[in-house]
Amino acid sequence: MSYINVKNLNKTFKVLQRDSGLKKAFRSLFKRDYKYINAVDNISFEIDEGEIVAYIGPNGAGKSTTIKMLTGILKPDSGEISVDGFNPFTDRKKYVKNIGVVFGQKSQLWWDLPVIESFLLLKDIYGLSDYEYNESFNQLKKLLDLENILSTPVRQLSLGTRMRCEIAASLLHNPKILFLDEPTIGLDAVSKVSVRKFIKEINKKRKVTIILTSHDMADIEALTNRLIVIGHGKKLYDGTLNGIKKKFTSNKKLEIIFDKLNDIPNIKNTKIIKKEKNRIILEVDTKEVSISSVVKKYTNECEIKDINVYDEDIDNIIVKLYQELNL
Amino acid sequence: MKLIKNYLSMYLKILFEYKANFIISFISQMFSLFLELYTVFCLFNKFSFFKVYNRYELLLGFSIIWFGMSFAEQFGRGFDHFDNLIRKGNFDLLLIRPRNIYLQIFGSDMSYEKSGRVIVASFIFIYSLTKVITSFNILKLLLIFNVVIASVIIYMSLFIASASFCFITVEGLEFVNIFTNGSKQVGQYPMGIYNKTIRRIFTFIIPICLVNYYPLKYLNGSTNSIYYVFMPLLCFIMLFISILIFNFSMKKYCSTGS
Repeated sequence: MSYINVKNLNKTFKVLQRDSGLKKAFRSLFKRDYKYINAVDNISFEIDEGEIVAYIGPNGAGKSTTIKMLTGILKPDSGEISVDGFNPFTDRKKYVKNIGVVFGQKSQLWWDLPVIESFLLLKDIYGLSDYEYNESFNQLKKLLDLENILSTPVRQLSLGTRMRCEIAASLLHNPKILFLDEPTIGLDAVSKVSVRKFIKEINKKRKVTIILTSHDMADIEALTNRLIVIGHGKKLYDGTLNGIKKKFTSNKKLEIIFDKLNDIPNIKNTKIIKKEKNRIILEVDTKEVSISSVVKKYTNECEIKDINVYDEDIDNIIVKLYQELNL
Repeated sequence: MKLIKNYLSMYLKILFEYKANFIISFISQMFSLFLELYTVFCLFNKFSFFKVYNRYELLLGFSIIWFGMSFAEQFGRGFDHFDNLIRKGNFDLLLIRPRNIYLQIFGSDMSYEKSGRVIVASFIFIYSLTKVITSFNILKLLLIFNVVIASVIIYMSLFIASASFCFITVEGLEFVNIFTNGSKQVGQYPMGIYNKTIRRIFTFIIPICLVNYYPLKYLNGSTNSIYYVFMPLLCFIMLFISILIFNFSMKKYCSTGS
């Protein structure tokens, strides 16, 4: 039995339907039309201890709903969830001691007070001893470089700094599982990189199991190899990132730099994207023609100075994936 | 217990952070209560049916209702403005903590500004007590204690019950205002001026008569029945029912957005 077991999970929401216009709005006071939406539709998966898993899908796919059920906030309509032997909803109080949650869009810090005050309150909420708190706090302080900002009121922190504090706040009580719901939303490149680096480190140092949702594919590429894709509430893919890449990318980009090109060879299944004086970029369909054979043909025509081969952009792969699955 | 102390000190720290804001709201809260008092007195002088009561009995009922309401508003703001917690999705954050949910809702919002009203109401209450009570004994002291507790419990229960509506309809609070603000409007006048039906409603449904009608009878010597001393404690039934309603509605919670 794995660490986290989710079996045939379902959650349906009742959503009020109303057309625009005052008249219709008035009518809806008396007669309401509801639509039932299967936010989570028969989802099952297993996650092992210490794994980092990315949980992705387009907006409204049911990611947050699943996270909310896994964290014990929402009650599943049907299906089973067991995390480390707990049922998140019924054993809520005992269970949540073992988890940390970061909602990228909701702050758990006290807006008006210095960061350290929020931390100290959390210490009491989780009933940590001074020793437990200090050990955890010092480690996080070092890893997240919080020393200089602890006495600044949260409202004066930049988004990136605040996110570092949020993550620290969710890890103070040394949880075994960390849920990150869009942890890099709105962050600049530097902050994103440092948040990613930290997530990796904490996973290694504390053996924390991490489940993260994100729309930023670079996050996912940097952090994990296991990917669960959902759409319209259904699980569509569960496997490695490379697996998806292989499945959905046959095209590679080939950049060739040369001194002088005699003649552009005509090769089937390749497309010229860009041509400059001493550089050409080709898109090669690797299912039909191999990269090496293309390069070979070019060596006949010119003196090659440099070659670069690029995978297709991960964002494009995901777009393709969503298209293929009709999302 | 330690957590309650911590929550209180957190809000105190916020208060120090915004000193000017606190002072202004504190004074305006006091001022608004004096205005309310003034209108009640104007009516008192104008209409003869008020005269069943003397000035101090009027003040006693007025002050205990305002004390209960303001005290509950000060510390139970989390329940009073529960729709904020739901709408912003911050209720989710309370659910991921290993603590009692009621305690956390109390801790989620407080407003020390209301202490302006609490202080004024307490002064009026104590002052009118000294005028109303002619002969003092230990039972009367006990009754006063019970009345103070009950006034807070009644409004706390009202807030908890009204917060339950937020689970079902996110914006159901206006409707609930009938009970919270309505009861305050009715209760700041002596309950004796209303007819029996109204008094029944405010005894059995929203039991503010427990703090400003029956106790008065005992305090001014109209009755000597010992039941009157413990009557205010019946408000705990209301608290119990409110908590049941809240727990039941919480199961319907379905969170908002991501």
